[in-house]
Amino acid sequence: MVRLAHLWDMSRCVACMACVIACNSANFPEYMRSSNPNPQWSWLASNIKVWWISVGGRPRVLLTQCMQCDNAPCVKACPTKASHYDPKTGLVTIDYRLCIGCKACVVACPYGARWMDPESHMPNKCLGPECSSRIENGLKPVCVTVCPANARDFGDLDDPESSISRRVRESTTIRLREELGTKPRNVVVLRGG
Amino acid sequence: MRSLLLVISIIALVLGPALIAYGYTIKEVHAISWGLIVVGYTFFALVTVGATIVNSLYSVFGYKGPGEVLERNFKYGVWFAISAIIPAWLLILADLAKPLEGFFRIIVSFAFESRIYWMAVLYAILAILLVVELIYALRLGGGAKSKLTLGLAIAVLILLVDVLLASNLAQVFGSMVAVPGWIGIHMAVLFLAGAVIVGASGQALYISLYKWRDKSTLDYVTQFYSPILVLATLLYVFLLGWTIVTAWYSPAWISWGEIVRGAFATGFWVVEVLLGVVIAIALAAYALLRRNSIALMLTSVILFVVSLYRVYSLIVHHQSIALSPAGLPMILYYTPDAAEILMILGGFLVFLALLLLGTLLLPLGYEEKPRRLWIFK
Repeated sequence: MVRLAHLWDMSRCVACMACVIACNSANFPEYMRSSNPNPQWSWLASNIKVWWISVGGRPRVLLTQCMQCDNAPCVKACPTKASHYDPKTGLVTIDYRLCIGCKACVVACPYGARWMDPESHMPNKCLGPECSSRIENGLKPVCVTVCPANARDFGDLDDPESSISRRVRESTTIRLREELGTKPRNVVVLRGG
Repeated sequence: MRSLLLVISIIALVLGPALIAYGYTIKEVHAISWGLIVVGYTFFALVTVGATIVNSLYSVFGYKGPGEVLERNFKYGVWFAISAIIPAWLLILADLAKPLEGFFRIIVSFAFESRIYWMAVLYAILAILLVVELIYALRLGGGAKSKLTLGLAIAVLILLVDVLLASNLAQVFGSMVAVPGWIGIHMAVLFLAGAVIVGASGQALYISLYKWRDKSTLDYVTQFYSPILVLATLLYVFLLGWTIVTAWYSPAWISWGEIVRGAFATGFWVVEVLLGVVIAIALAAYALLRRNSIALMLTSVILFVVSLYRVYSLIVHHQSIALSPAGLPMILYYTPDAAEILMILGGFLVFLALLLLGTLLLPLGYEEKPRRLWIFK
């Protein structure tokens, strides 16, 4: 079984936002010139959300995207089965032919990882269309590729030889808000190996 | 006069959906996902649920009320419930990105884990049952006859679906772990008690308005609805208190705390507590003791409006203050836009137009029987 997931290394991230911009330009090029492309987040049309948090009184950045939960609330909340696990990759995916735009998945996500498209009124999430096709072709998502600090990775958690599995083994990691029982796959590295 | 009212109601019935349709074309995306449209939908759903629970006192339990007021106005009560279910449908479909295929997609998906799936199923069943009950009562005439076996079976089914629907609607919100303020079990009982308040107050107002010349009926309406409003409000206060106490010891306090003593405290204490509890109970008690129908109508108006605010607060305020992925509180600012306000106005126009049309065209009076086209006056 393939369990694809993202890794974000907080200790390496330099908050340059290259991943955010890359996601925007690769997956939502039509919104590059829009003045208000993502009113839900008051942000760019990007599937990566930026949270400014305070750690020990100092500002830090927390980057989140779809956590690819094994027990995804969005999948359970969806009344049309549009949000589902892709049988090939195991990734939480939206079938836009089935989606009716009820926003239940957006409300259900405790990570705020989904945002409503202001034009189509349909939900967007990581992975966007360009990144999905990259994965089908054996490539990594654009946010991983462009990161200048090697703070990002993507791969199969069930494959012990994958780079993501190696980094998880060698690092101090957490999964966000595990207490909710969502079983997020995405890994946040607190201290790299 | 009747022709004028008929024209007004038909215009309103056309204008209401037109406003909803126009609002749909210009609606915007907000920081919170479920805003005023979902509030309006939930409000009308609770009106139907509450009115049906009040109707069931007669249709299921055989209680006719003082001066047989419940029996004599049973058909009005059923029509009131049906009139609210239609704007609820219109509003929730208009909140979807694909309203025309939304209901069909939900029904054929068999997504049993989704609460919204069950809403569609239960809502469809309730609407069908209510129409069947109305036609049954219209064809039979009177009220007592509808207690015959078939009528009772329909009424019991309606009550069952009704309670399931209200509880499931509450769980649409209560099952969302992303919004800690929506505490599952508490939402269900709050919705049921709130439904009785809004359903009873709406019915009391409706019946009082069309029977405003009939002093004895007004007197019986006052005797019947005043204690219901007092008791349902007291029950709501108890359940709300229980919810707040529970929230104090859980993450839910991040939003409940803001409601009780933070950003939304003014609305809570002035609208929900002062108007919706203190003044409403005092007025309803006065109405009951003095047999004052004006006081009952005033109570009903207050509770109807306060109920809309309560639903707004339950749905919007708890989404406005949530926990970030790091577990820290975050504030999402939301103000209803013009499109949402137009759609809500459209919903209320449809509701009022249907109430008026039904009262004018259907034989809803106790002694009335259909003369034209099987169900019309």
